[in-house]
Parts: sequence; C-alpha cells; structure tokens
Amino acid sequence: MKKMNPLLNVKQLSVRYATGADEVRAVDEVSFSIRPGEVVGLVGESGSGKSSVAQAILGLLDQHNTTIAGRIEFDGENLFSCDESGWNAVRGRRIGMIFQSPESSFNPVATVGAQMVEALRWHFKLAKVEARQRALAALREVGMPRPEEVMHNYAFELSGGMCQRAALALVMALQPALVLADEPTASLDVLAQAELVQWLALIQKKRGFAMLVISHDLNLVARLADQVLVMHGGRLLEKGATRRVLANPQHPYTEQLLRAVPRLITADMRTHNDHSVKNGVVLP
Amino acid sequence: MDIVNVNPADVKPASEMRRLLRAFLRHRLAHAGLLGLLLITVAALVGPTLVHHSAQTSNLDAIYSGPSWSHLLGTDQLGRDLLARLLAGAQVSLSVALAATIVASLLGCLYGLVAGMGPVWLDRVLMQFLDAMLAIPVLLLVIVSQAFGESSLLKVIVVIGLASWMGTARLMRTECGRLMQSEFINAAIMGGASRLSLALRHVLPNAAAPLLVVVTVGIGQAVLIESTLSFLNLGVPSTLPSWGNLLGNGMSSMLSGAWWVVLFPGLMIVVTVLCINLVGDGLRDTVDPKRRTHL
Ligand SMILES: Nc1ncnc2c1ncn2[C@@H]1O[C@H](COP(=O)(O)OP(=O)(O)OP(=O)(O)O)[C@@H](O)[C@H]1O
Ligand SMILES: [Mg+2]
Repeated sequence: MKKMNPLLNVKQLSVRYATGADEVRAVDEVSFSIRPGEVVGLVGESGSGKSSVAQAILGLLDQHNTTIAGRIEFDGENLFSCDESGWNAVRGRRIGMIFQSPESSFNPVATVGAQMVEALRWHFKLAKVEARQRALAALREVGMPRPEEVMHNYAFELSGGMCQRAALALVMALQPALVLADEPTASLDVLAQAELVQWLALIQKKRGFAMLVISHDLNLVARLADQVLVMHGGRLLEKGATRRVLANPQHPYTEQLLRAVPRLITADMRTHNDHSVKNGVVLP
Repeated sequence: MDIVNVNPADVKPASEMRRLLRAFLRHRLAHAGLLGLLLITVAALVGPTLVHHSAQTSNLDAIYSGPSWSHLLGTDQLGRDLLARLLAGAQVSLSVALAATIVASLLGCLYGLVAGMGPVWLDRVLMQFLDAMLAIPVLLLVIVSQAFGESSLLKVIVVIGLASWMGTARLMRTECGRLMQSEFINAAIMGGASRLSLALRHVLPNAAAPLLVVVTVGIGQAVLIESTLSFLNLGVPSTLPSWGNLLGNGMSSMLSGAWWVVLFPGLMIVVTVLCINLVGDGLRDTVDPKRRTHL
C-alpha cells in the first residue's frame, strides 16, 4: 500500500520553558506524523510533555517563557512561519482542540451560545441568525438535551459532561481536518467518560477527521487510536500500531505503563469476548 | 435504556457572583468597615447642611475654643467651627481620593493590558519602566511635580493618580499572564478572537474581582497620600478644607494647647482608611479564599 502524505508532520520538536533561572526541557526532539483520517494516541505520565506538544502545534505556547525548535508541517505548510492571520486560518478551522477541563473552556462571563456563535461567525463569515442555527444544529448533533436552553446558559450552569459536549459541538461545527484532544475525559465522571469516548469514536468514523488523542488512560487510547506514541520526560520512547505497542511493548517504560492500569477494569473487561485483553487494556 | 437520571455533576452550582456576594456578606469586619464608610459618606453629603456653622466663616471671638455645645468639636485659630470644616473636608478629601483612584486604575489597567497582551519586547520595556517607577519614592515624584503649574484640585488628583497606578498595572499584568494560559482563552483564540477582543472581553472581565480589591485598597491609600501632601502644603489648595489641610493647620496650632484641631482630623483620616482597608480585606478574602485570615 502506498503511504498517504501526512496531514501533520512534526519534526524534531523541542519545547523549553524558562522558569526563573532554570530551563525545563518539556519536549525533546519529538518527531511523528499523522495521516489524514488517522487517530494517533499520545500517552505518558503527568509532566511528560504531552500538552506542550499539542500547544506547540497550535502556536498557543506563551511566547514570554518558551523556546521552540524544530518544524511542524500541516498540510505541507510550515506552521512556524505563519503570521497572525495564517494562524487564525489554521486554529479552530483546520485544527480543532478539545481541552481537558470542559467548564473552563468557556469564558465564565459569556453564555455558551454567544461564544459558539462568535466563533462560527468569525470562521465562516456568517450572519448572526445563520451562526445561531449552525450552533444549534451542532449541539443537536452531539446529542445535547434542550440545545436552545443551553445556548443561553453559562458554562458554570452546566454539568461537566454537558460542557464537554458543547465544546465538542463547537469543535465539530468548524469541521477541522485534525482534532487535538488533550485528556478529553480526565475531568469527567466514569459514565460521562464512556459516553464521550463513544461519541468521539462515532463522529470520527462519520467525519473521518484525523485526531491526536492525548491521555494517560491507556484504555481510552486503545479504544480510539490506530497508532500510539509513548512519551516520557519529553522524549518519544516508542511509536507504532496500537495493537503492536500494547500487546508487545518494546520499551520497558511502556511495559511499566501497561502494568499500572487498574486491575478492576481488567476483570470487568474480560467478560467482553469480542476484545482481547492484555495487561488490563482492551485491545482493538 | 434509560439508566442515568441522577448525576451529581448535573446539580447546578450557584452563580459565581452570588457566591462571592454571600461570602462577602459573611465577613463581619468588612461589614463594620462598610457601615463606617457609609456613615462617613452620608455625613460628608448631608452633614454640612445640618451644622449651624459655615466651614469658612471665621469668628474672632471664638478663637481656639474647645469642644462645647455651640462648637461640638471646637474651633480653629480663626474661630471656624471644626465640625463644619471636617464635614466639608470629607467632601474634598473623599472626592479627591476617588477621582485619583479612578485615574490610577484606568492608567494601571491600560498599562498592564498593553504589557500583558502586546509583543514580548514591549512587555519587557514596560515592566522595566514599572520597576523603575516603583523604586522612586512617591513623595519625591510629588515634590518634583510642584515645579509644574499652580496647585489646584485637578493637579492634586492627577499627581496622586500618577503616583499610584503601579500596583494596578502589576496586578493587571499578572492577571494577563494567568488568564492567557487558561483554556477558555485558548478556546477563544481558536474561535478567531482578536488580541483586542481577548483583552477587553475575555481578560479584563475575568480580572474584575482582584482588580476591585486593589482599587478599594487604593482609595484608602489615596486618602493617605492626599492627607500627607496637604499636610505638607503640597496638596489641596489651602483655601479648601481637606482633612490633610486641617491636620497641617492644626499642627502649627499645637503649641497653643488646642489638641482638638489635631486630634479630630487625624482621627477622621485613620478611621476612614481603616474602614476602607477592612472592606478591602473582606473583598480579598472573598475573591481569594486561600489567603483568608480568620479573625
Ligand atoms: N507554562 C509553563 N512554565 C513552566 N513550565 C511548564 C509550563 N507548562 C509546562 N511546564 C513544564 O513542562 C513539563 C511538561 O508539561 P506538560 O503540561 O506538557 O506535561 P503533560 O504531559 O501534559 O502533563 P499532564 O498529564 O500533567 O497534563 C512539566 O515538567 C511542566 O512542569
Ligand atoms: Mg497536560
């Protein structure tokens, strides 16, 4: 099979944070690529630099204290040579991002609807009424109950799961070719987590966008990703097809990660006979 | 199948504003401070009409007469009623402090926002300048400013404003740094928000609570600066009865044994600043529960 051109190509990416006199090497010469429609999981413990990778891809790192080296190509275009308007065309519209904490991905002083409408208007140059209709349609698509009401709510008036869905709706409404999901389930309760993962898998199949799923939840990654990247201390230790990496880890750190998966899930998941289970992780 | 009906996360949290208001109202000392401020403000507004004496009419038959029924707080070296002068002074001092604080807050917010949201090099330059400004004693700035123009109310306001915007600027800059890392700002950037819109619609409103604390405390500080300046004859024109002027006036009368001309203006200043600081502390504890001091 001939390889498709990668949609995202990260080459030798390094991110350093200046903290006082010190410097933290958060990302150290990381290279990987994502093909159109491919789902890639990025796993690693807290502080391994996962979020820094995502923020670098979108140019969201604080310029005051970060140094970036390397190259990121999106659709053949070097993102680091983008000016402000170049970034604006990429951010949201071509690369979407789902944030870790759903409540805080909306401005607490504006309604959820206002923020959705604003983004839709800006990206698609729509009139207010049209943008509103699209926002409503997007909310319906992610199965939001009473979308008209939600439009008038502030984020703090919604539950975490509802906020996450609203955020998801907005990301999807902009129809990006690549979605970065930074620990999308980390702050949800177990039921909301399962629901979100189901939605993500479904909508990804339907729309066929590429996705980078960042998580330390190996089950989530196993469920969604075709490829897995394992990060530790800013370095990429292992990458490969999800099944291969999880069933037959090459790096001792990956093995360690696999061993750390809670046992409870193992017992529960073993009853599913359509999946094979290895080290507590349900393999795709 | 419908399984989930009760989800604890679905319970609506109280509105943030209402929570803050409730927390503030629980703060007893802030209550006392607020009550004190209210009394002082009402006294400043309606007091002068209730007192029989005028703040400016001198009475040479009653020079340095101590507190009595006809002059509750006594009279000064020209026989002017001290109570009437204190009440008129409250109007002057409080409005100067308020106006100066508004000047300082606007200036500080603008400065902090430009530093925090502008290009990195501009931030560096502005922060260096801010540090330099902080290193210069306020009084020195004020004395230098005496070289420019006649003393007037407007000038006092501008001078105090120019001498006290730095705290607000620093806070605004810190808030920019904090908020710019938050997810909703990143989400707004993904939605195409411009820098200006980020600054005015996303950063500023979300920095309102800590700003309110700084502004409140700033009013107290401005009262103090005004008093100091007027006391040194560098502030409000001596024809107007500000608290600082009264105090300065009183100091030169101390030798005559008229303690009341010093005590009462001094007391007014101290009590007012104390009340403002209590309210400020209450606000701070509400805004930032981690730093709460249990009293
Ligand atoms: N703004 C910052 N300033 C200084 N250091 C930072 C900053 N952001 C992250 N770091 C440091 O960089 C390293 C990587 O952080 P990053 O947030 O990318 O990790 P992560 O893998 O996403 O972790 P988590 O799972 O906790 O989200 C950490 O050591 C962190 O302390
Ligand atoms: Mg992270």
